Amino acid sequence: MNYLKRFVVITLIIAISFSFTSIGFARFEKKPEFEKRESIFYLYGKYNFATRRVYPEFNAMLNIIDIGHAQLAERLVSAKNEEEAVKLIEEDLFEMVTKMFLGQARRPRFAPSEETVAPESSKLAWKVNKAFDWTHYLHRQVYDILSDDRVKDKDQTIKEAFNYYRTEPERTFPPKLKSMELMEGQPFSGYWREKYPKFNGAIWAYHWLQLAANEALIEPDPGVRRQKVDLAVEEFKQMFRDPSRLPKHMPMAHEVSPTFAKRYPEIATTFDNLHTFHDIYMDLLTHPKVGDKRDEAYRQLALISDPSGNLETMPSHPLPPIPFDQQQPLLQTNQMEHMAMMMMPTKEQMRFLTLSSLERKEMTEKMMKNMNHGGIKNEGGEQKMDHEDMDHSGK
Amino acid sequence: MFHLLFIFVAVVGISTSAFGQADYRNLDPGRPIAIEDAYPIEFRALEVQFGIPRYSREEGGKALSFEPELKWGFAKDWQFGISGENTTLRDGGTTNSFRDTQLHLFYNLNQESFTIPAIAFRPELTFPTGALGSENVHAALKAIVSKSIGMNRVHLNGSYTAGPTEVTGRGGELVNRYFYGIAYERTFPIEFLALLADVYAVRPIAGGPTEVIADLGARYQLTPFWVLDAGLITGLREGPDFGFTVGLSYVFSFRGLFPR
Repeated sequence: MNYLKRFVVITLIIAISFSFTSIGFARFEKKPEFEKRESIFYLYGKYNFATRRVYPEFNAMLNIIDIGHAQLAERLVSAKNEEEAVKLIEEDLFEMVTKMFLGQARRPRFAPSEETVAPESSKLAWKVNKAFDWTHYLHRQVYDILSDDRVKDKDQTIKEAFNYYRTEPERTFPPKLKSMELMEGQPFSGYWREKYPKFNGAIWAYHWLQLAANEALIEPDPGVRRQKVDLAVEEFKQMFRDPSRLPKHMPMAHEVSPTFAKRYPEIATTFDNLHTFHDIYMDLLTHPKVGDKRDEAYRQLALISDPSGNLETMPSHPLPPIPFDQQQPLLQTNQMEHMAMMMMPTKEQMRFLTLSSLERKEMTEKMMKNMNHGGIKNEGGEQKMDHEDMDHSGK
Repeated sequence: MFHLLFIFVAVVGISTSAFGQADYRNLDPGRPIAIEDAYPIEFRALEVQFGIPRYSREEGGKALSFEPELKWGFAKDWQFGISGENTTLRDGGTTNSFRDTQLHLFYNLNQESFTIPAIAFRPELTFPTGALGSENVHAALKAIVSKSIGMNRVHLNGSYTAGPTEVTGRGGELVNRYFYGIAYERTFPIEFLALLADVYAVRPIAGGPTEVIADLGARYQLTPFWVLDAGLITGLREGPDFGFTVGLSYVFSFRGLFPR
């Protein structure tokens, strides 16, 4: 009986402690909402898990990327203040994922569910979580289909996977490229990469590997395909051995995976929009003047999910395929230079990459002066946003 | 019981190349602890659970049970399941029989937030299907609450069963007059491992004193398809002196369940 009493008392203490602990996180929840969970299985196919079987090292990178993405949000939500968050992410988390990538620490054996790796940040904006998860599923499915040579008609199978993805419009990113203004032209834009430059580089490296893998896996010859995948993985690891090689802008399909983008333009654009939203989400999570994180996240999700508003007008001409180990000149261009390149014809982009940093800067400034994006627009027309529009009461 | 085993074999046999991502955190009654969590299986997923075996020793008697279950996420946030129990009792002589067969629905109301826990309801209908099982049909309703803080989760379960009281010795694990308890879970996401402990009170459907039972267990993701679980059971007041269970869960689906 004594054992029973002790067991019950200890269990109750743990449960009550949890209730009090959760009060600390309630600062993120201005208006508690009853949100539907709605977990969905992803599309059955013989190709499922082919990447794991055929390219285990690349698959291991993907699993660690999932951990890195999830832990990033978790540490942002859990940190007591910005100083602590910067240390937890720029130092501790960067070291943790680097060790995993380089095989110096235990790696996850499977793709982890974000909810298990980031239990608190998953509560912040569940609809965002669903959109991320659903699009990551599509990512994995495309890799699996392209990895599996038992799939006879890869184009048709990828089309089926994409059609399945599109059956859930509330959690999909649109197949038309959204304006860079959403990422660059909002009051909170750029805050994340200003305060967390190193891990932002890691996130862009993640996105680079995902794009490079699309380009490598589309290669029809299995031997050449394997060489390309291995090269992409090795180049990715090199970025973590020497962080100065991490990308200085958000890599996009038209520059890193032009062959894939030409063959599957809607899917490539969907992934570009996903990556854009990753940056937007990080900005609003970190910016101290975004008070109601959930409200703002849902507003931003609605903006980027809208298939017709705020579309990109820059032509984004594709680059010719560049070998993965020769992409450093491209990856070292900064975000403004990258946006300037989005306005150039292909030949001019290639020439731009040969210029000195001073020459690139001058040319970029000149082009940006002539640029007029026209701001972010909601359904009701143009919406002027500034810091005064934000709820300043929160973290 | 064997019809359920047949379903399992048939299902696995015709879906050898099926895709699945089993969830080592998805707790179900008896796998390995009695308390379950408030989330159902994913929409369009199926899961077979294969409790092999569940052994318990009580007042000199010994019982060895096989408890298979098949679940289907037939709609978003909904689950349907069928489970059975086959028991061999050794109490002087040896008796082997089916016990009850249970159908259940499971509905999850919400995803937990910082302040609101996940809540679910599980109506159950249990039928007599063997000499050691009940003699009557019983209907039950269970309420389930789950709340996580970091890598820790707490689950509360409570249920009440309507229907006649059975005679002594009838009924089994699947049907009780009432049941309530609490569980603690610690997740290790890199290892794909969950450690579990619970304590619960249960009033047997055949009457008798309320039993207070504690379980300790673990769930471990073996492959993207398979989860292994194992647990220890002991009665703190009445109930079994000692017991253990080992189980496997397999998640899969069929292409026909997906839109074309």
